[in-house]
Amino acid sequence: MVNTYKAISVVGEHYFGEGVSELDLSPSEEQDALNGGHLEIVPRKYRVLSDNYTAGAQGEVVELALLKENDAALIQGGHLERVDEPKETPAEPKPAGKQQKKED
Amino acid sequence: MRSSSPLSPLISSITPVAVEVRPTSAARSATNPAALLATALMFDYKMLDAGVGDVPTTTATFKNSGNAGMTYPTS
Amino acid sequence: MSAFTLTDALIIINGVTLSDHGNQVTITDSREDKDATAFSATSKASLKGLGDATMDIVLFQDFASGKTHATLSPLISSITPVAVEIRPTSAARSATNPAALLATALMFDYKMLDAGVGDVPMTTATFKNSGNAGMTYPTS
Repeated sequence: MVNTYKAISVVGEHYFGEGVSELDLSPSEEQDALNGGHLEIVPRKYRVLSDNYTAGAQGEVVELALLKENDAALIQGGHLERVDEPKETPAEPKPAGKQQKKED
Repeated sequence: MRSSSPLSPLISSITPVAVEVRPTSAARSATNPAALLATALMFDYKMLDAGVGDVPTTTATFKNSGNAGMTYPTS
Repeated sequence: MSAFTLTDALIIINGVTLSDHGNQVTITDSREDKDATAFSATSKASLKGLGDATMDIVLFQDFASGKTHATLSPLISSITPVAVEIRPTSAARSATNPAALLATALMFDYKMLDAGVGDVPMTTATFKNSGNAGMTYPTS
C-alpha cells in the first residue's frame, strides 16, 4: 500500500523526487528515510470505525500521519479506513449544440 | 504502593543516592542500628505488577555503587 | 495517594484502548549491573549499564473486529514501533496517575490461543523498547 510523503532534504529530493509523492516503500526504507530526515509523512484522512481508537470517536474523520505498517495494522484491525478525496477531473468541453432554425 | 514519584526518577539516574533501613523508626543506636548504602543505584523498578483487583506493590532493588559497601552506623 | 486496588488500569496499544480486555499488567524497567570494582575496594561496586524496558499485558482474547486479536496480530510481524501506554487509572495523566510509556515499542511475543477445553482464553502481549528513550513516566 502506498503512503504519501514529502521530501524535506536534498537527499530526499534526489532519491524520491521533489515535493509530495505517493511511494510504496518497505517498512525499513520508510524508517530509514524518516529517521534520516529525508522524508516526512503527509497526513491523510481516515474514518474511525471502532469505538476504542483514541484519536477519534467512532464515525469521525481524522487526519493522521501514520507509518505504513501502523496504517496497515489499524486498517486490518478494523479501527480505521482511508478516506480518499476524489481527484478533481478537468471540466469536459460542452458539445456544440445544434442550431435550431427559426421558422418564420 | 504509595506515590511512585520518589522512586521513578531513580531508575534512569546514574547519580548514587543514600538508602537507609532501620529496624524501628527510632533514632540510630546500638540497639537500633541502620543498614546504610551511602552510594546506591536503583537497578530495577516495576511501576505496576498486578492483576485486576490486586493492591499493586513494587519492588525497588538498590545495589552499592561505591567502594564502601554496606555500613551499620549506630549514630 | 494512598495504597489502592487496581481495578481501572488504562491500556493503550498503538492508539487502541484495550483496558476492558486487560486483566494483568507487568511494567519492568531495569538496568544492567556492570561491575566497577577496583583494587582497594572492600565491597563490590556496581554501575548502571544499558536499560531494558518491558511491558507484559495479559488480555482476554477476543476475535471481534477492533478487539484483542485484530489489534495485536498485525503487530507480531510488524517491524514498525508503536506506542504502548499504561496508567494506574483511566483518568488523565497527572502526578498521582502517571503513565508508563514505551513510545517506540515492538511486540516480541503473541499467543493467539493458549487454553484448554472450558477455559476462557487469555493472551499475553510482550512489548519491549526499540528506541533510545526507554520507558518514561509522563504526568501530563
